[in-house]
Amino acid sequence: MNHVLTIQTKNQTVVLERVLQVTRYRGFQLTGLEMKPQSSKAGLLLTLSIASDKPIHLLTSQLNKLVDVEQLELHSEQLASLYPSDLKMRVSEPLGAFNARHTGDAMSTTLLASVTPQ
Amino acid sequence: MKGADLVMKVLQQHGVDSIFGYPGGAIMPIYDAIYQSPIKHYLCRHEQGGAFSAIGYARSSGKVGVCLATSGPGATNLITSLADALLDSVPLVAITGQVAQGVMGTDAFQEIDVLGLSLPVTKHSFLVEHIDALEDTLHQAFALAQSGRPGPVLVDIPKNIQLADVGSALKPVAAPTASTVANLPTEQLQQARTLIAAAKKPMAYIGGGVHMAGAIAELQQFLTKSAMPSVTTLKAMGSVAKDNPYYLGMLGMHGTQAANLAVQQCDLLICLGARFDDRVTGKLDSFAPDAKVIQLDIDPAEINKLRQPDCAMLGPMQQLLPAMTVATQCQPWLEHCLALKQQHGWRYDHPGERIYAPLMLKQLSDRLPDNSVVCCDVGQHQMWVAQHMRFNHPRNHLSSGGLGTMGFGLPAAIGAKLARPEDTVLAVSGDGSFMMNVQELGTIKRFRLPVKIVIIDNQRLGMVKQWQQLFFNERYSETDLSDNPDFVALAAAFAIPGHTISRKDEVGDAIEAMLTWPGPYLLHVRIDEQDNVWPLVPPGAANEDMLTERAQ
Ligand SMILES: Cc1ncc(C[n+]2csc(CCOP(=O)(O)OP(=O)(O)O)c2C)c(N)n1
Ligand SMILES: [Mg+2]
Repeated sequence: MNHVLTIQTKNQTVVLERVLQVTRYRGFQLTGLEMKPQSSKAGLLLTLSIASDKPIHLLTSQLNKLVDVEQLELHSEQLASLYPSDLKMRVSEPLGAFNARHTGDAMSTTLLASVTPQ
Repeated sequence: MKGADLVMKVLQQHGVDSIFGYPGGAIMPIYDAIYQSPIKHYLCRHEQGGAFSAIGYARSSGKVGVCLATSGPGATNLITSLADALLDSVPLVAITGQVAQGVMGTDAFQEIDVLGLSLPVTKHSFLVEHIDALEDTLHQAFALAQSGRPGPVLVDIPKNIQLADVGSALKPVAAPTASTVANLPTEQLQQARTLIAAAKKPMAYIGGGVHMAGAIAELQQFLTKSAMPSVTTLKAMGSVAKDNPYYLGMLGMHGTQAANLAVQQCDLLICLGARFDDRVTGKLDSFAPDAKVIQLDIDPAEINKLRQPDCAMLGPMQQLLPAMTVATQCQPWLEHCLALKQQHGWRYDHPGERIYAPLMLKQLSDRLPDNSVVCCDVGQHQMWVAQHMRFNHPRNHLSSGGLGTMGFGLPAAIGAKLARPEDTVLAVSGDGSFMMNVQELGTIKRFRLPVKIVIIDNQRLGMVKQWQQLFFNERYSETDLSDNPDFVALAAAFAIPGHTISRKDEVGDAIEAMLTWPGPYLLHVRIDEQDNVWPLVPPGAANEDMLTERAQ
């Protein structure tokens, strides 16, 4: 299946390498890549086109753990197929905890919350 | 003050008392600051050993381990240990010197792209690009190493930044953020309780995440109140109370038969801070095939990575476990598990006068004071330790799990002894593994560290040999170590006394002599090269298809 990910990062020179390394190591194929500095704040906006037979959450959950990744959005053909509908996975805290990750808070729950089918 | 002094001051702020490292050109300013720092530096004899000592320090104490290396070869020598810490989720801060920024990118002497090398082997890594960022970066490194799922963090500091002037006023350390959450996931907790109450054959599958979350007490209460059998991974051994009758031991490739059979039969698997590693599950599709799964973890990426849970929760185990507790109705299952345990108990009736390592390790375990730390290497002896020694806390059993790194044991024991000087610390090594970081005997000698070393010598790379015997037509390619050095003489060169034994009747006295000797000591235990580890789940098989010794 093909997916498009948009990733907002902190402006770190090495962040693109990290994203590419995780994508390759987790076994996903990159079919397109766009990178541009964000106009409003310091950071990069990455757009990744990904092809894979594996469920995309195996990639997004790993990318979300990258400290330099601030926000990740998935524009998939079938968002709902990310998690089977019988799996009601909700997190113990709202998505606001995203940034808290960087201050050492334990709740790094990011994408799970944003793509969980309700 | 200089950047280098700032590094030492920040370490102090984080309560660091011991660091492990090796100097070199690009980190000399920091070593100059170490010269007058109250933090004690332990000189390793290879950076891999130093980092393993930091890991041993961290794993035995729950604190952050800190290691140092110079640029280039110093930093590359750290890579294996960083990978080890990543796969076993060990909080580690590695500080490397880098060449001065002015020459970076020119293939300068001892310049290598350490930030690039660090990407796949760290939780996160930094290259400090400005003196003004140094302090915050170090604080972040400590926070990241410990937060959520712990892991190694590397900070690469160019030499000119170590030498740069910086104000001497320090920012206060941010108070550690509480790992409690206000809103527990009530809906999933309700669902979990319903699943547990309805289960006829519940089973707790316990991983290292429980003790790393500081939830051992909560776990033990959960297992008592929601009475159910339990199994542990290699990393979680010691999590379950010694007197819990329904604890079935380690599961997986060399797990107990009772553990593997019961997990295959259960109808509800409660996965607590574990990750369905292939050494645990055997053939994944047939792992606990009839079980619904409840999964608790702190790392969202572990949820639904290899097995789709029916109910999943992310969050602090200390809060989730009590909230998930509910009475179980599974008496027949508990009795069945007890029967499995009895039927498949270990047997120590080994013929002949040669030493049988499982029995010897059991004798050793029985004789050790309660809070002793056992640091293992990798191979057959490692599995025998996991099978035949009992631990009352996972911090007392340090074994390289995820990476399975030979050479881990001896340096880890050095770190553990420094973290817990009052406790007895043992390195149990193999004749192969011991030689992988043997240079650390120099560290033991210098600091007269009373580490006890037990070498289980089968004159083989035994674990590989066992696989050659079973799966490669007995073609013993490069696993013969019958020309091993004289280990006792080797220890003597480092002023460490030692003794060799090869008969069962020598074991008791030898253990006594080692443990009562006030300093470091090496016990060289000769065993038969034919001895193998049983049971064994062959590659690609389901966990109920264990090979046992009697079947061979
Ligand atoms: C650094 C490293 N290299 C290679 C291996 C592969 N390996 C796993 S166990 C083993 C043999 C270990 O021999 P020894 O330490 O004597 O232990 P034994 O199995 O004989 O008890 C080897 C080579 C490894 N785990 N780590
Ligand atoms: Mg051996």
